[in-house]
Amino acid sequence: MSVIAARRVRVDWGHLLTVLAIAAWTMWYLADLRSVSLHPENTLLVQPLCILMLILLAAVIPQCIRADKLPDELQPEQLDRVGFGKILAIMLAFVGLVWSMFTIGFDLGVFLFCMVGLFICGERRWWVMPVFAGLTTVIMVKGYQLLVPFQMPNLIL
Amino acid sequence: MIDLSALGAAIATLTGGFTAWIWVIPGLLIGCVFGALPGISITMAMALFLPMTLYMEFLPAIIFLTSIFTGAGFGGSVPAVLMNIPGTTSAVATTFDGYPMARKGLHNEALGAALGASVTGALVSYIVLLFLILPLANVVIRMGPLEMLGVAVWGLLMLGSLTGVSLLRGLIAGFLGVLIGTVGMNTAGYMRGTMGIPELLDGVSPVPALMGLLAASTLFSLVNSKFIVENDAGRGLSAKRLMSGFFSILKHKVCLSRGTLIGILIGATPGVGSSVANLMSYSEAKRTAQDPDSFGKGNVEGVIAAESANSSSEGGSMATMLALGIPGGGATAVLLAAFALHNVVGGPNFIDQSKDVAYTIILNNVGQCLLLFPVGFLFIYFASYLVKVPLRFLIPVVLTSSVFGAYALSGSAAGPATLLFFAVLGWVLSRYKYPPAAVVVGMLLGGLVENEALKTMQISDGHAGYIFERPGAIAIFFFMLLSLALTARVRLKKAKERKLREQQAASTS
Repeated sequence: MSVIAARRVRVDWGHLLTVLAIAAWTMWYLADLRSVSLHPENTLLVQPLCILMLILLAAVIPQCIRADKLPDELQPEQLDRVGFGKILAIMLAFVGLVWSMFTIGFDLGVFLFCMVGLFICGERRWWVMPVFAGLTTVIMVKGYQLLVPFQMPNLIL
Repeated sequence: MIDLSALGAAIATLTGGFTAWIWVIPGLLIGCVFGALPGISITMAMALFLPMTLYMEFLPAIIFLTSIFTGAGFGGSVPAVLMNIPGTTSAVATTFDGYPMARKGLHNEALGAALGASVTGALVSYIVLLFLILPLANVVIRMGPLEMLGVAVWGLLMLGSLTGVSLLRGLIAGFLGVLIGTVGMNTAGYMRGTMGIPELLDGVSPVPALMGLLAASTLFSLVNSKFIVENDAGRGLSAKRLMSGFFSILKHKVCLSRGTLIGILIGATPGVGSSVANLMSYSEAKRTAQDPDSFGKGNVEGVIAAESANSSSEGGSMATMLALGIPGGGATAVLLAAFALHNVVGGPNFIDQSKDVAYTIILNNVGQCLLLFPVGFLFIYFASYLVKVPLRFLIPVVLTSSVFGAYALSGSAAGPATLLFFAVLGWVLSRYKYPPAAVVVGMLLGGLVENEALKTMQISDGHAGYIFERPGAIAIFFFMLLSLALTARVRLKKAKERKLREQQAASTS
C-alpha cells in the first residue's frame, strides 16, 4: 500500500489491480457476448449480470483508494517480505509443476516440485528432501496410473 | 404404498444368507477411501469397479456398487474438513464450517458430526424411499424447467449467506462465479467468453475450479504455518471427542431434519442432486440460525446441514433411478449401467415386476447406513492423523494430488491449468476478503439458472403468465419467498431487541 501524504489517501494497489482486472474481464465478456448475438436467448442472464457487476465493482473502488478508512476485518492480512516471498515462491513452483508435467514428464515434474516445495516450506535436512520427493513421486504416479484410464507422459517411471 | 408380501420376500433374501452382505464392508471402505481422494469422484470410483461386477450375481453386484456410493458420499467430508478440499461438488458446503473447526483444533468434533449427519441423513432417506418410492417418483416426473429454475434460484440465495464480512464483496464474488459459470456454449447454441479455447466450449470444469478456489489457494496461505492446527494440544486424536461430535447431531435435530428433507427432495430431482442440496441446506441452516454470524467460522450446524443433505440426496436419487429409470447424476447412471450389464432394465417395469428386488436393494442400503457408522468411525480416526503431519510435507503432497485429480477428470492439461488459474484467483480473492466459496456457489448454479431460464422462456414463448399453469413452480417460489420473509422478520425482531437492550444499557449507565 502507498500513502499519498498531501491528500491523506492510502491506496491499496493490490486490491485496486484485482478490482480493475475483474472489471476488465467483465467488460470484455459483455462485449464478446454482444458480438455473438443480441438475441434474448444469448443475453438473458449474462448481460444484466455484467452491468450489475460493473456497478458493484465501481462501488468497491473507493474502498481501494481510501484503504485506511476500512474496518479491521476488511483489511488484508499483513505479510512481511519473507512471508509474501514464500507464498509467491510456492505459487511459481506450482506453475512449474503444471508446466513440467506436460513437457518433461509427470514423474520428474512431481519429484522436482516436491523438492522445491519442501525447501520453500522450511525443510532443510538434505537427505529428507530427495527421499520424500522420490517416495511421493512413485506413489502418486503409480497409484494414479492404476486408477486413471488416461496416459501419463513419464520420463523414467 | 408398500407391498407387504414383496417386503417379506426382501427380508427373507437379506436374512437368508451372507450373499447380500458380503460385499457391503469392502464397498463402504472403497467408497470412503476413493471419496476422500481429490479428483476421484463417486462416479469414477463406481465406474472403476463396474467391470468387476460383471461376473457377480445381479443383487451382490448392485449392493457392492451402492455400498461404494454410500461410502464415497461420506468419504468426501474428510478432506473437506481436514484440508478444505471438497473432493466432490457435494462436499462444498462441508468446507465452510468444517475446515474452520479443524483450524481451531475441533477436527474430531467436526468429523464426528459429519459422520453422524451422514449416517442419519442416508438412513432416513432410504426409509422414506421404502415407503414413498412411487409417490416421490410421480412428483419428480412432473418437474419442468420452471420448477428446476425455482430450485436453482433458491440455491443461489445461498450467496446471501456467504457474503462474509462485506455484503458488497460477497455479491461481487458470487456474481463473478455466476458469470464464470455461464462461459461456453449455452443450451441455445451461443458461444461466449471462450477466448477461442476449445476446452471452454463446455464451460469451465467445476471440480478443478473449486479445488483451486477452496483448497490450493488455502494451501498457499498455509506456507507460513507449521501445522493445520497451530495449537499443540488441539492436534490430539480422540475417539471420545469423535463420539461426542457424532452425538452432537442430537442437539441440532431441526437442522438435521431440514437438511435430510432438502436432500431427499433435491436429490430426487434429475440433474440437480447433491451438489445443490448441500448448498441449499447450509443456506437454510444459516438463515434460520439464532447466531448466523458464527457460520463460516466453525459452527457445527453448518457441517450437519451440509452432510445430512448430501447423504440423504443419495436416497432421493435412488428413488428416481429405481422407479423411473432416470439417473439423477453420474453415480446412479453407473448403477443403471450395472443393471444393463445384467440384462435388467430399471424403471416402472422393474418396480412392477421385481418389487421384492427393489425392496431388497433399499433395505440393504438401510443396513449399509448402519454399517457406515463403524466403518466411517475407523476411517476418520486414521484419516485424522493428517493434522499431526507437518505442513511442509502436507502442502507439496496435497498440491500434487490435486493436480493429478484435476488431470484424472479429463486426461488433458485443461484440468491442471484450470486448477492453477483458480488457485491463484482464490488466493487473491481471499486476501482482499472476497469469499471464494461464493464464487464456487455462483459457478455451480450460474449455468443451471441460465439453462433453465432459457428453457422456460422457450416453452412459455416469453409469457409471464406461464407460471400460473405450473402449480409446482408456484409452490416452490411461494416457499422460497415465505422462507425469506420469515428470515427477514426474525432478523428485524432481533435488531429491534438489540437496539432496545443498547438503549436500556445506555439509560442505566
